[in-house]
Amino acid sequence: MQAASFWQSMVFLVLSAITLGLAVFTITRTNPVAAVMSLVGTFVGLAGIYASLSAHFLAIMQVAVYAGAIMVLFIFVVMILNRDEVAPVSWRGILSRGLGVVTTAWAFSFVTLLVVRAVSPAVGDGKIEGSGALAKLLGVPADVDVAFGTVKSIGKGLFTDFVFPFEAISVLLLVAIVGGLVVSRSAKQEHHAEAVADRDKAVRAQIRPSSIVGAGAEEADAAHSHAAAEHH
Amino acid sequence: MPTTYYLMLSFALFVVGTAGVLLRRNALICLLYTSPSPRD
Repeated sequence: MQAASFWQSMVFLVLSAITLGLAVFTITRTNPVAAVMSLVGTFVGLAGIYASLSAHFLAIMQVAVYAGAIMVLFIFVVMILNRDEVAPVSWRGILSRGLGVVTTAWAFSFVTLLVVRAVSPAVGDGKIEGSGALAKLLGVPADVDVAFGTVKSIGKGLFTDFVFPFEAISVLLLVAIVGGLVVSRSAKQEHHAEAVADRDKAVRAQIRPSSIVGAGAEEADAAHSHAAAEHH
Repeated sequence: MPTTYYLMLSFALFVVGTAGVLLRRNALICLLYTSPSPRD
């Protein structure tokens, strides 16, 4: 039992180190392809952690959907666009953004502590164990049920007990999509795009008069047929 | 494994993702920020 606990700890520590290391790699690489490959490794590490928690279906979905489908799409897009390498850190407005990181980290730890205190009064002594009340809330029972982690139990849990967190994560993903759009389109690019659009509009307005184009085409056709008749 | 370990890992991943989004301003990092992790 002791040996099993030791190996479980070792597996968790190794997978955590891989996941965290590759996550840091993802945000520090200048080459987009290297960043995407690091992200794939992060997802695989997370899948390993899910598997160690007996959530095998979730682990398979993590690899098949995220590492297998979404990240392959990302790699193709990055390679096709051939985007220039960017600096790992943009120093513009570093103070305000650094403050944002610290504030977010503090808010996350604060909310986590609130949840933990609300569920388990023993957390003040750092005594949360896998078999405690919090573990039951988080779905990590001490004795894993046979049905735990199956498609049926996950589906039932998602649409009954955990429907609110499920929908909240959907909103989080929507926010991430909007954030991705805002981040990927800078003000400079937007001004450039608007300038190009205005120029195209002006050029089109100069060429457009269809009556002139139509009349010109008719005249050209008439001249061509006249020349052909004379030739014959 | 104590649940605190998983919470610590999720906290570290969350901070890395936040730092990536705010400091690097790369759309790719947004996926890491929202990636399924033990915090979910």
